[in-house]
Amino acid sequence: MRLGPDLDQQELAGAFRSFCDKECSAQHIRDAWDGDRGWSTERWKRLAEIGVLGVRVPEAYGGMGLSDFEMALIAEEAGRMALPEPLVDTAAVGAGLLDDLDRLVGWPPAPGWLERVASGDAVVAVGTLDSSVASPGILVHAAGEADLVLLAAPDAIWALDPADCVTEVRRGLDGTRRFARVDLGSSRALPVVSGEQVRSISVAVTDRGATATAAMLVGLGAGMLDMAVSYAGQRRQFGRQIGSFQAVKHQLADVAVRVEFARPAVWRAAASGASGDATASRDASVAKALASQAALLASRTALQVHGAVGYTSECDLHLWAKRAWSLASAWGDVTFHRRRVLASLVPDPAPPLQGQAQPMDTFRADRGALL
Amino acid sequence: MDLSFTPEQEAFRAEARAWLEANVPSVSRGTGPLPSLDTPEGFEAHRAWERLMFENRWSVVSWPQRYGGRGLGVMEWLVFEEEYWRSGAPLRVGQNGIFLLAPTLLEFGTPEQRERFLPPMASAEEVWCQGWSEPDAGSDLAGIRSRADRRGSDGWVLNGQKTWCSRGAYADWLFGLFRSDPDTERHRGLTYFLVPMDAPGVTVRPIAQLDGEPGFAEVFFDDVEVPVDQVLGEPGQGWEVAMATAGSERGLNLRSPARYTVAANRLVELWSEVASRDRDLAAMHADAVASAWIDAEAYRLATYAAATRLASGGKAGSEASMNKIFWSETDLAIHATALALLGAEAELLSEEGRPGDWMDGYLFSLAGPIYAGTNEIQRNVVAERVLGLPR
Repeated sequence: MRLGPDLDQQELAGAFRSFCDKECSAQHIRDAWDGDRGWSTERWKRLAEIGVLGVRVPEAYGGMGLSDFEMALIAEEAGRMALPEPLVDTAAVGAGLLDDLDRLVGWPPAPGWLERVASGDAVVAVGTLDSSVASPGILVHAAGEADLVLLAAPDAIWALDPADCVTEVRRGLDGTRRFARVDLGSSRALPVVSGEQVRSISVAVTDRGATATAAMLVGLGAGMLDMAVSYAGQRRQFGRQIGSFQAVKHQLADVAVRVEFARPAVWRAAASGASGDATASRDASVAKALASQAALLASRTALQVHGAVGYTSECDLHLWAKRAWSLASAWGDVTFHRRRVLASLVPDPAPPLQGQAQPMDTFRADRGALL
Repeated sequence: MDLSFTPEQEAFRAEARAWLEANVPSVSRGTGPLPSLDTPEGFEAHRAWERLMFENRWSVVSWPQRYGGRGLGVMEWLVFEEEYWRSGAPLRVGQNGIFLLAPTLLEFGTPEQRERFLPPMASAEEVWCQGWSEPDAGSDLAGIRSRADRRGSDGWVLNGQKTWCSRGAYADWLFGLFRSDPDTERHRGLTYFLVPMDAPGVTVRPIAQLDGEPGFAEVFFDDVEVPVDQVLGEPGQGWEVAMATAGSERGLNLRSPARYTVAANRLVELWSEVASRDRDLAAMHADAVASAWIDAEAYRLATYAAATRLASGGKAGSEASMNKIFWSETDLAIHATALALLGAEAELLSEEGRPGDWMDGYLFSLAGPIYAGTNEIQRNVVAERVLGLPR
C-alpha cells in the first residue's frame, strides 16, 4: 500500500510548478482573458516542449507514456497557478479517450491525433451526452478553439471537425473559458464507434474528466488559500493584522482541512482510473465531490477575508475564484457526484437514485452548491 | 502508487478476521453485546475482552514483541483496525493507555518504566485514565494549578484537582500534568506523572455523562506521595511530553479510519432500508448520507497517505490537528444523519434505560469536537502552525 506520489513523481510535479511560476503570472492570466481564445498559443507550444501535453500519450506516439496519476499531479499544479490553457480537456480527457479508442477499437489509425496532441499541434475538446439521441446544442468547453471535438454517449462516440458541429462560441464568466454550442443534429457525421463496447470507454471519459478537474480544483483551492493567508497577514485593522483574529483564523483553518482531505482522494481516483479498478467511477465521484466542495469553500472564504477589495476585478483573486466556480460544476457538481457515489453503494439503486445514469451531460449541473 | 496490500499483510488480515469472528462478544454466541463500559459490570466485561485479546497477541499489534505486541508497522495496524471495527468488536476500554500513553512511554520512558507499565497496560490488568483538565484549565491547559512538590531526594507530593477524566471512575492508574515549579508560568515548570488511583490521598468522584453513566470522574489529590521513577520524561519537561500524547490523541493513533468507514457503511444500509419503504424520506436525506460516507472515505484515504509518508521517513506533525477536526465532524455528520432518518425511533430508550445504538453513537460523537483539545483550539493550531498566521 502506497498512496501518494513517489520521488520521481514529486520531481515531475515540482518541475511543472517551476514552469508555472515563471510562465503563468496573474498578468499572464489577465492577458489571456483579453485574447481571442482565452489562452495563449505560445504557452501551449511551451507546454508541448516540456512534455506536459503528452504526459499520458504513449511513448510510441511521442508522449511520456505516463498515466492519469501523473496527469492529476500536473493538473493540481496547473490549478494552483490558474493556468488558462485547455490542459484538462486535451491532455487528460482528450488524450485519455484517444488512447482508449486506439487500444480498444483501433481508432484512429496511426499516425494521428495522439501524436498531434503530444506535439502541441492539436487542441481536443470533449463533451458527453446522456444518450446517442442527438441533443440540441450542448455546451462544450474549448470546442470553439479545438481541432477535434469528441462527443461521448453511453453507446456511441463521435469525432467531429468543429467546423461541422459548432454553432456558436460564447465567453464564460471566467474569461479564459469559452464555451461552444455543439449541435450533433446539424452534423451528418456518423459515430466512429458505437454499441455495447463503448460503454466502458464513455464511463472512463466522465471519470477522467471528473478526476483531472478535481485535481485542478485542489490546486485552485490551495492557491486561493495562499492568497487569503497572505492578505490576512498584511491587512491591518483595529491596530493588528486581521489574520490574528480567530474569526478569520478558524475560517482559513477549515479551508486548509477541506483542501488537505480532498487531495488523497484525487490521488486515489487517478490511480484507480489508471489501473481500471472496479471502483474507478466511485473513486472519481468521491474526488470530484470533495474537490469541488473544497474549492468552493476556499473561494467563498478567500473572498470574505479579502473583503471589498476581493470583490473587485483589480484583485487577482477573481481569476482563481471564477475558474473554481466554473470547474466545480464542470464534469458534474457536488450533488451529482454525491448521488453517483450513493448509487454505487446500494446493490439495487433505490428509487430516489434511479435516473442517475452515467455518463452525463457535462454542463447540465445545477449550481446550487455555489454559495 | 500501489493500492494493494502485500501477501503477508493479506494473510495477517485473514488471520485477524478469523480470530475476531470466532471471539468477538456476540449476540448469537450469547457473549454480547457487552454492557456499557461506563458501568461497573461493563467495565470488567470490557477488561476481560482486552485480556483475551492480549493472550492471543491481538491487543497491541504494533508494539514491540517484548511488551506483548507483534512488532508490526503502521500499515498492519491499520489493517487490524479495519478488521476490528468491521467485526463489531467492543470499544477499547484501555484506549487512553494503549493509544495515548504508550507511544509517549516508548518515546520518553526509561527502559524500566516500559517494562513495568506496558505489559499490564496491554492486558488491561491496569487501565489508565488521563488527568489533564482542571476546573479552571480546559482549553487553556497551560493554566493548570495542581502542584507537585519535591519531598526529599526520592519523591514528590501531589496536591490539587483534575476533572473530566474519562473512565476515571474505574481506572487503575492516571497519567497527569502537575506544576512542579511554583515560580514558573504557563508551559514551563510542568511535570508529567504516573499515579496509581489507589494511592493514599487520591479521592475519586464519578460524574454522569450525557447518557447518565459515570463516564467521567473528578480526581482530588491530597498529599499524594509519588516516587521519582513515576515521572515520565524530565521534571519540568511535562509540556513537551504532554504534546506528544496530544499528537497521538488528535491523530491517527486514537481514531483509526475504520471506525468511521464502518459507521458510514451502516448509515448507507440504514438509508437503503428507509428507501425501500419511504422514498420521499430517503430522497430528502440522500445528499447528507452520501456526504457523510464520502467524508469517511476521505479520512481513510488521507490516513493511508499519511501512513505512506510515515513509512518513507516523514514525521507526523501539526496535521494531527487537521485530522482531529475532520474525524470529529465526520463522526457527528454520520450519526446526525442516521437520527434524521430514524426520527423519534432514535430517541427510544431500552428497558434498562439505555439509548439505542445510533443515539449512543451520536452522544459519543458530540464529545469529539470537545475532547483532545476543542476543535477551536485545533483551528488555532492549524492557522498558526500550518498556515503561519500571526498569533
